[in-house]
Amino acid sequence: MALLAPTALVLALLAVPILLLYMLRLRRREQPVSSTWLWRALVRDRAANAPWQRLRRNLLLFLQLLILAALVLALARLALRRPGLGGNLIVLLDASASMGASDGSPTRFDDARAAVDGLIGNLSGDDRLTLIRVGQTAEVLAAATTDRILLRRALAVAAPENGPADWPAAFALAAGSTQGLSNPRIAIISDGGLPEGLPPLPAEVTFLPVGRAGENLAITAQAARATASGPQLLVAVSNSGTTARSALLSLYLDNVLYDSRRVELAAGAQSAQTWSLPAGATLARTQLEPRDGLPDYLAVDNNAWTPLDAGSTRRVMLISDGNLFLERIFTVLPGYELFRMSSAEATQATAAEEPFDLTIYDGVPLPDGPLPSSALIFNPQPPSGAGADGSSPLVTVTGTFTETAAVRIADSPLLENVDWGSFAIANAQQVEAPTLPAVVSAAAGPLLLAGESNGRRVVVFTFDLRASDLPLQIAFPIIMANITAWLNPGRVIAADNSQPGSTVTLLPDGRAVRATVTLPDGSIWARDIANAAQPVVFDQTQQPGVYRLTTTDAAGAATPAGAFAVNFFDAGESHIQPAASLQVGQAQVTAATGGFEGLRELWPWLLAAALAVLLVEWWVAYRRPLFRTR
Amino acid sequence: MRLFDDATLRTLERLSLWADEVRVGVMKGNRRSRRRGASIEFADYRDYTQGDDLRRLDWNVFARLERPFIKLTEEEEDLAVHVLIDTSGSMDWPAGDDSENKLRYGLRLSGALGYIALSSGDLVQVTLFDGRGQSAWGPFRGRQNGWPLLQFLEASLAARAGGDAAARQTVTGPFLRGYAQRAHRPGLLFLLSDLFAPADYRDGLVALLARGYEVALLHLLSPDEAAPELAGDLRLLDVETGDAAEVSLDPQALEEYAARLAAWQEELRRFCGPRGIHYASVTTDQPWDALIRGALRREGVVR
Repeated sequence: MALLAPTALVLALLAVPILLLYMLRLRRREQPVSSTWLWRALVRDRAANAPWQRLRRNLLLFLQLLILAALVLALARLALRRPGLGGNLIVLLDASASMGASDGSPTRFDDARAAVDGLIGNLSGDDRLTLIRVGQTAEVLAAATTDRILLRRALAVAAPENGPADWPAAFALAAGSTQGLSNPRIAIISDGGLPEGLPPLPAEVTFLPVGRAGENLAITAQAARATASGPQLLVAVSNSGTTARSALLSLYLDNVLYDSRRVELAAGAQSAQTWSLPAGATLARTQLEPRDGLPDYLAVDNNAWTPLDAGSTRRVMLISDGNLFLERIFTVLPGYELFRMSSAEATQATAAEEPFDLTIYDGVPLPDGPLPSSALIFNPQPPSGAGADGSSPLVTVTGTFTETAAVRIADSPLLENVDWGSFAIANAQQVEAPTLPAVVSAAAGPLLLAGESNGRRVVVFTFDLRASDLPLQIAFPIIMANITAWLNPGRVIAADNSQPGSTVTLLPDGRAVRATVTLPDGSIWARDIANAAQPVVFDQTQQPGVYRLTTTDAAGAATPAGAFAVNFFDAGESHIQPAASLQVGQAQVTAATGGFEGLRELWPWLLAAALAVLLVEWWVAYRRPLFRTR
Repeated sequence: MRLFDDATLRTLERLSLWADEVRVGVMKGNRRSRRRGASIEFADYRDYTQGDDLRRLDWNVFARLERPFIKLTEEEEDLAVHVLIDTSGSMDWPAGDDSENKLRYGLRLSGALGYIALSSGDLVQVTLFDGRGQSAWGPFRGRQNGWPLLQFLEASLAARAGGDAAARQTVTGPFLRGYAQRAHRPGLLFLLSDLFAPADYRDGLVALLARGYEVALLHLLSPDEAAPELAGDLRLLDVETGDAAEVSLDPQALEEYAARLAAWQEELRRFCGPRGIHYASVTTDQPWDALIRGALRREGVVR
């Protein structure tokens, strides 16, 4: 029991005037009788002489005081403490990956769902519940509703994600949801793992913890790299539990077991494992299994996939009237196959049979329309075609300049380990390229531009290599390595270390009319490509595993276009130790122990009771004269 | 104000009062007495003792046996009938010349009883008493006194209207004691009262019994006393004493009142029964002649 507006109890003093009125009103009707002798005994027995006892049996007065009491208590907002919500509750339901840990019944998320279901079951009166699922995006499943069916339906479809939860967004959403609500309360149903520095919430916050244990083994990182002796696979495993663990780490190459290692992990420790991979493997999968009989509550982090693009060479088309430096450098850079074409041939060859990963335009006019692939442009020239007005969509040549001393050098990965001042440039083309930001600029114009055009990365040198001593400097192979790495030729799939829920940009070559992605569970995602220059964004990356891209050209021929892996590499989510308290703003919110308790206001019932008593009082007042004729 | 019409009077003439216990007539009456007396009806012989009336010596027997015997004959004597009417304030209720008025009912009843007694040749004394004093009629005997008795009662009834009700206190107990002390001719005594008396009336009744009266107590109650139709918060004013009693009446209180009244009547009945007092509780909505022919006959007072 609680009174939310106890000052209203002062109104109980209205009982005094009621009592006074009753005392005054009790001027009794005088009734002569033959003798009061018999009555006196009765009066003595009923002791009706004392004023307070006069009132004692006065039903009407009692009823009126009862009405007053009910009204005063209603105004004082009498409320019952009871399991339930009491007003407006906003539930933040953690849907992060750690909620999928199987130390619940069966999972933590099921426990959380049961807790929310309990809250829904305690909905009563005009209690309103807002259900926000906190996944990688915060999502309002049901907004301020009293509809249990709607809430339960929304709850039933809620599922945990394989990724971290966006708590700042959820807090912002919850804070926004409290607007206009009276007596809002916020319940966070989570196993913890909230980031530091969350803002305070404008409501009372209750933390309903889920989860019991923190035993978990995880693969927290996996990467392949090429070395001189062949590709290497690096795998990091961790034990986020509280006891030392022993596990078996198995490596599968193209789904064939290649090696297994026993890994001993102290509590909270990490271990790095390295494998030298044989050439020719296309997919490395590692699997971590506990070998000590102890549970591993989170399964999603026990597998990792890495596609290996071993042996694939990138096709580079050099359109040039002869450039020894470029021909040489692409024979030196590993993994490139260089094709050459003169500018005259290039204008005739409309579409290559097989697409190139990188096209180098060395002192030749750019083709009309979108570039077929990533492009490296040296010494851009105005289009040579008749009727051309000297402009191309990408780069417009306006003149030539000789003041080539760099005056502004942007911080760019292209210039990593490159000393731009170590070489000289005789002259350069003056260009306008509104879509390409300048990386290096001279006083008269840019020297190096790098940017994206229609999803293709483009790097432009505005000078001729032969008009510079750059090819003779040590900086040349470095800058070319940087550039080719940045241009990333041949990467149909622009995805680095994708995590569940992240988006992957697909850049099929120009002939593809349809991109198809086979998900790890075998389902197919397909998208027609309307504009070959536009990248395709793939966002169905909830499942960890290998996604395979297939492109279909206009003729209907399907070509495998690579694969990418989505891995659950999240040390924070792999650390599934349930939290005992949350830090919200400056406040430490400890776990609610005694269930969720709400205040249930009783004023509607009190008003109804007052009305009912009023009816009874009316009935009594009306009915009493009938007794006389009885 | 007539108490009775002629037909009623004729009915009354056919009735007679009867008392079992009282045999102290002085005049020859028309009822057999337990006493042996001087009538012509032979009853018995007994031995002469000194001081016996020689006129009653049976000389024929003396001559034959040479022993004196007194001839006993049946005594035929009259009955003294006393009618005491409580005229206190509470008896004048319900107010007005209501047929249910207790005083009117009591006077009418006493008139009937007196008329019956006079018709039977009994000695009748009617006494109206209240706190101020008493007014008495009689003792008279003979049917010729019937009409004066009724006149007296009618006059008393007319006079009570002008009386100060508050002054007419109930003094049943002291009055009965005094009446018993003054009695020179005990007999059948009718006491008509509502017994709404603060003082106890029982010692008065006992005193009457001790003097040899046979008492018939006619306990008069008006219907609204037997079952009051009152409700609400009332200030009850006693018309006799002027006292007030404040009471909040609900059905429960009325039930309590009824229970209390019944208990009181039962208490009276228990008091009267063993002492040979004829007790009849009378509500004034009951026809008085039915009472005489019903309840009083059952009590053996009227034959």
